[in-house]
Amino acid sequence: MTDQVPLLELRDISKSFGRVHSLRGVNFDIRAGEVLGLLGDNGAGKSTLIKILAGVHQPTGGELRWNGEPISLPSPRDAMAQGISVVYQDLGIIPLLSIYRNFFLGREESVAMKLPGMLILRKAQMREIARRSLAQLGIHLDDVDLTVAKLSGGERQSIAIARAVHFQSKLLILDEPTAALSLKETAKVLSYVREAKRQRVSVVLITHNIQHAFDVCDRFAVIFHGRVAEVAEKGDVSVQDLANLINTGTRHQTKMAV
Amino acid sequence: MAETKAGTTALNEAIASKRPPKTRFEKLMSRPESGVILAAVLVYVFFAVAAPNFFSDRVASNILLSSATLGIIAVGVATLMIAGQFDLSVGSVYGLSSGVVILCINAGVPGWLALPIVMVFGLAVGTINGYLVTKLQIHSLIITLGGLMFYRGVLLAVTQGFPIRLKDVDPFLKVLDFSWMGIPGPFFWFLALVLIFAFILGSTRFGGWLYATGGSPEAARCMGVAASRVQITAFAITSLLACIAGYVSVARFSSVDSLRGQGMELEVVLAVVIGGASLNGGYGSIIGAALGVLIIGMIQQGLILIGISVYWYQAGIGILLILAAIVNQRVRARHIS
Repeated sequence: MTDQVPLLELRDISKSFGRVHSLRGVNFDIRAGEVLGLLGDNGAGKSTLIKILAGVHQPTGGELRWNGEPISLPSPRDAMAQGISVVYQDLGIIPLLSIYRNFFLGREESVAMKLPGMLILRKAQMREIARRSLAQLGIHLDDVDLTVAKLSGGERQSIAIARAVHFQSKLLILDEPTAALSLKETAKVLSYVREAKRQRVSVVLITHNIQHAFDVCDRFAVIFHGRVAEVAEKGDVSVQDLANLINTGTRHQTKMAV
Repeated sequence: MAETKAGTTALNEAIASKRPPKTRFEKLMSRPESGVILAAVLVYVFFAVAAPNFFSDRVASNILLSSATLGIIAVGVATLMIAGQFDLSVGSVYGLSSGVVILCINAGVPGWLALPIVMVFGLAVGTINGYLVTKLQIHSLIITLGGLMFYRGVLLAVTQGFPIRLKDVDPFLKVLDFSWMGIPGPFFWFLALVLIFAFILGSTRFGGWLYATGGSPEAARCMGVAASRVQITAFAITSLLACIAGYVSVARFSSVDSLRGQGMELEVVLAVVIGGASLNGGYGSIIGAALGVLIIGMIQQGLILIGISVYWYQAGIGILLILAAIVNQRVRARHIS
């Protein structure tokens, strides 16, 4: 298992915005079919890291390797084509569009008739696929013409996850999927994560909530001030260790003098 | 495992029961056009009862003719508003494009060739607007307000403020200036463009991307939509249609005065908003905008027939806009929650 080439390797990734260094040489890897918890305090650099993996930002230094091959992700479309899907906390979905339109947004080629200079959507097919894919995750929304604005936070997350699974993403990145959700909905979203893993999708789960991460993750990577504080197997750390790593960058409870 | 599966299904059913399926009527009422369809019927019935001769061919023909140029421009402005942007320069671009057509033909360019020339001009104007707005991140109201002044100024300077007209009858333009069963030629251009754009917005990828970009540009970009390109294209379409309207009006009137199209940029926003579009973008309809244009045309002609001073036209339209905004707000709320 550990001998296998990782799905995605981050080698010495850094990113600066002018004189602000958000990431300073980040190294870790994501294995095929695992759930990796990416933890860190606000401002630690998690969001910047996600945006690099999503093709929104370009790293200022370092290298990404996909199945051992160096890759670059110049745009979100390139990341999608590679098999990376990102479900953003608040940017994952267009509230005014219907469920099935959101489901296929940015990936309409597969359900469109190609004319020169124009893609005509096969709407009946789109509705059918969206309905079926949602049902596979255990989400039953019969009326996929509903606008997403009418759905609860958990349902919105579930659409984004169902989309990633349907388009056979190899890597699903979830940014704070359980923030602002009720307890029941949180349980459902975490069950979707397990379901995605069962379908052999690697998942990176970004969260503040260590308990949620501990429930579903196989490994953890903790980011502290733009660097990786530690990468640990679930069996090697406790919830308290992770809390300390997030707060101080070490397993000790008190901050070391800097 | 089986137990949790059953638990989730029960939960799903509980959640689903909170949202009963909508009836056909409710679905119809949550479409962006529902308010304007009702308004169009009401305005029509009102004038049919109140105004003598409202059913005469000449009146109908006048309404359709006055709606045509405004309508062609409204199709573009509605498309752009759905993509989340404004264009205040359409009236000036429309006037200037009429001037360009006349100057071209007077200089010996055949009428059929003037159409592609003026279309390229429109695409160029719109693309420049789009680039300035999306790349430099300057609000579209500012950029196109500058455009409004600039293109109007150019037309005034070129014509020295005097009307200009075609020296000779152009055979191609003559053919375009037809009427069929009392319906004036320009109206067919309007109708064709409405149908084409209603199809594009409802059934193509570009249409979906327009709504997505207008609804939330940042989210659309994150989902792989080329948001800037979509908005630049929408700007280009808007100016292109303003120029086509200019060409159509030359075919009809053979002349242009230097103030042609002044105030149209606001009249067209009026029509589009009456038609159910949201100023915030991401929501609206081409059919609705077309009906909004027809409502304005009916009120214009109807008031004249009733014998009310034309000065009251503006006041009436103002009240209509406010009423429409209130109704559309309700419709939108139904759509969202």
